[in-house]
Parts: sequence; C-alpha cells; structure tokens
Amino acid sequence: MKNVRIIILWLLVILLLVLADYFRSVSLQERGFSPEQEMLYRLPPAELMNVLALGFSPVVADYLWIKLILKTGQSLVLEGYQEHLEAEHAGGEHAHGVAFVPDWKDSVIVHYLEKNLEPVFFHYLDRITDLDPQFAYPYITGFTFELFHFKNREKSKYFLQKGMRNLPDYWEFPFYYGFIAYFYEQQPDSVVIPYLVRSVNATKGARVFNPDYPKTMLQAFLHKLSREKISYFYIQGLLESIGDEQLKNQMIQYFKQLQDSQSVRY
Amino acid sequence: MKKMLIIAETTLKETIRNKILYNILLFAVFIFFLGIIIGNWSLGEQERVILDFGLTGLHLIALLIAIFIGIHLVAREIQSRTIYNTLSKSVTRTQFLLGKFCGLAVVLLFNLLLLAIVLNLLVFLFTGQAHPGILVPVMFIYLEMLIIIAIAILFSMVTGSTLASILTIAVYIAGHMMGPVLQFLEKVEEIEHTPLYLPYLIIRGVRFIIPDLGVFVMIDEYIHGVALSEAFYGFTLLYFLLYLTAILVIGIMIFQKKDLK
Repeated sequence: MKNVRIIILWLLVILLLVLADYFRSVSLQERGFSPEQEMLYRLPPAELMNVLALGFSPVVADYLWIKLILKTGQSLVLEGYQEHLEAEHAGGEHAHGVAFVPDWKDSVIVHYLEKNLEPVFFHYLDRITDLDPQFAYPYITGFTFELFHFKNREKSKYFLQKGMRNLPDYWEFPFYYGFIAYFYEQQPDSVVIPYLVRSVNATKGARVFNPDYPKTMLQAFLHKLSREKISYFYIQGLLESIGDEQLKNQMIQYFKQLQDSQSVRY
Repeated sequence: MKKMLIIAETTLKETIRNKILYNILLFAVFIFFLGIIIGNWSLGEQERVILDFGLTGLHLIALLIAIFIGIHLVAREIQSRTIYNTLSKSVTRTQFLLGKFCGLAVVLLFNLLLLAIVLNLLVFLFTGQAHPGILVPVMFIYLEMLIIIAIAILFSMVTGSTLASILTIAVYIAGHMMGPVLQFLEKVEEIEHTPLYLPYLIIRGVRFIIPDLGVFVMIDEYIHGVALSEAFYGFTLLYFLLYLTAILVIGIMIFQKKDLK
C-alpha cells in the first residue's frame, strides 16, 4: 500500500513538471521574443566583464565565440534561407537567378547578414578580443568578415591593428594589413613594405606558421614587379591561409567578380 | 608530528567515504564532456575550448571540495563532541587542526591529479594532442585551494556552517576580482581627484588581508603557451607559503582560545 502511494506521488510530480514545462513554453510564445535574441545585443563594457569573469575571462571569451558562431550559422542557414524561400515563393527581383550560395551582388542571404548579424558581429568580436587578447582567430575572423562580407574596411583594419598590438609576434596581421593598404587604399610600396617585413620577421602564426608567400611577396615588392604579379602573389597567399573551404570558394568568386568590375587594381 | 600524521590519515579515510566527494567528481566529468560538445562548435578551436572548460571545471570542482568539506572538517567534530576523544589522547589543538588540514590537502591533491589525468585523456582522445604540462596550472589551482581550505576552516571556527560558506565564497570572489579592479583603477588618470580614489585606497588596503587569488590562475598562459619566468614561480610560491602560514597561525590562535563546550 505504501509503495503504491509512493509511485502515485512520483507520477503526480512528473505530471506537474510536464505541465509546468508546457505552460512555460506557452508563456514564452505569448511574450513574443526570445530571451536569446535580447541577450545578444547587450554586453557590458570589457573592463566590467573582466572583473565579473573572476579571472576566467578566456572561458567567457570562448562562450561568446561559440554564441557568435551559432548566431552566424542560424542567420545564414535558418533565418536567411527561410527569407530566401519566401522571396522565391513570392517572386520578384530577388527570386530570379538567386541560388542558396552567397552571391556577393544581390543575395537575400547577404542582405540578411548585413541587416541582422553585422551589428552584433563587431561588438562580440571586440569583447572576445578584449577578454582574451591572446585568442588569435577572432582577429582574423573580424578582418575577413568585416572586409569581405560587410564591406567595412575601417572595422576590418581595427581588428588587424588590435591583433598587431596584442599579438605582435604573429605574421598574419601585418600581412593582411599590407593587403588592405595595397588593394583597397592604393598605398605606395613604401607604406606596404614595412608591414611585409614585419610579417616575414614574425615568429608565430594563428594556424599556419612561417608560410612562404609573405617572403615571396616581400621579394616581389623589393624587385619592383608589376602590380599584376604582386596582386597575384597576395591573393594566392590570402587564399592559401584560409582553412575553411567554403570561405575559400567564396573568396575565389569574389576576386573573379572584382576582376570583371575592375573596382580594384590588380 | 606523528600524531598530526595519524589525524591526517584518519581525515583522509573519512573524506574518501564522503558521498559529496563522488557527486562533485561526477559533476567534474560532466563539465569535461560539456567542453567537448561545445568545442565541436568552435570552428577549429576544439582543443582550446576543451582545455579552457576542463581547467575551469577543475577549478570549480576543487573550490566545491575545499569549501563544502573544509567548512565541516573541524566544525563537525566540535558539534558531535568527538573532538574530546581526540584531544584527551594528549593531542594538542595545533596538531589536531594541522592534521585535519593536511588530510583534506592530500584528498584534494589526489582528486585534482585524477581529474587532470582524465582531462588529458579526453583531450588526447578528441584532438590527438597530449598535454603533460597541464600539471602546472593544476598545481597552482591546488595551491589556491589550500588557501581556501585554510580560510574555510578559519571561518568555520568563528561562525556557523552556512555563514562560513558564504564568507569563504565572498573571499574567493573578492580575491579574484581585486586584480582586474585594481588594474582598471590604476589606469584612471588623476584618480586622486575623482570619486574613485576612496574605493581605490580601500581595495589597496584590503589587498593585505584578502588573498590575491588571481596570481594562481594560469589557464590563459598555459593554453596560449606563454612562458612564465622562474622568478614569477618563485615569488608566487613565496606569497602562497607566507599567506597560508599567516591564515593557519590565525586559525590556530582562534582554536586555542575556543570554548569547545
């Protein structure tokens, strides 16, 4: 009799928990927004986060990094694709000739990225690099996304400058900074060469260490090769340094389009 | 010395039988696996994330052991009156306290080494990289927790278990916050003319009493391969020895005067 009562009580507890969970989800739906989304747009200042992290700021940096990756994936895969499907279904200019592969000219995905991800992207990467200045990959991610996805050169340079300050021994940051100076700002060789020298003399790297192309680049500049040949070496080096195959293919498409539009001399 | 070692051995055997210890160790393994799962989302930074979460988990587990077992180490013996038995066998109060401290220190050491081996194994299984050097940050976590145990014992003799736990956690938080707060305040220009000057002076004064636990956290340096000088290790060890001795001496003085009735 006592055992039966205990079983009934346990079943009652389980039923109460299931009902409570159901009403919790209904309540969230009524609320109309996800607390997840709210959270993303509010991060305290870096100094305060450092204090609140109680010495574990690298772990907090990791958490923010993963959150950002998930948000980026969610924006691209779930929300962006959903909008793409709706646009295709509705018809109209965006629906024609737009595949679900980021097309840098006129893609619904890119529009969505710019609209929804860009405000948080810089903010999050800035905090991550403040909390863990030794974490190299966010600087590189900031450079690539800000320059190639969001077309924001100043923010891209910001991450590279921060990387050069916090990780002076890494070859990538002066190399990419020289890339921006050469291609986007059309700076003379005298401005670009010191960055290449610094890159060649570096002793560490974020992923690949001591590749040959910064040295090849420097030799190309010192021997005053043509801009076409120098451009070729720079782009080749940039592509070789990208580990992610999808990003690499996107970059190849991007440079092909630049070649057609001739908006950048190379 | 022999009596102290006997008390330490008894404490070791009692603590190993404590169920809280096994629950805490299970929690540690859970945190390690959480790090592995989260590491898969990190875009090529899996090793770093597993080590970050693993070492932080190890730190938290050691903290739980230090606080929850350390608080009750002496207090329980006083409450249950079993301390009279021990003290009646011509064991001094100093020997008793130090024996208890050493017993828990050994338990904590074994647990940390075991967890470090498990973490190393998991990192090797999932990333192919072994990390024998992980013992360095683990040893510094151990030193930090010895200080926490000493503080927990000190508070448990002065007040009840709940308040002692809260005060120990408060000291832990303050000990970790002090470094970054002082760093931030020292960057403020002409702080003497700002309202922050008084808090700055207070924190600088309190720094002598509350341990600066941030010096023992080496997770970042280990993960990024930043080499620390031998002088740093030497001075940190010196700081640890001096501070621990001071806390244990205070604890012994309080225990000598404590009315056990």
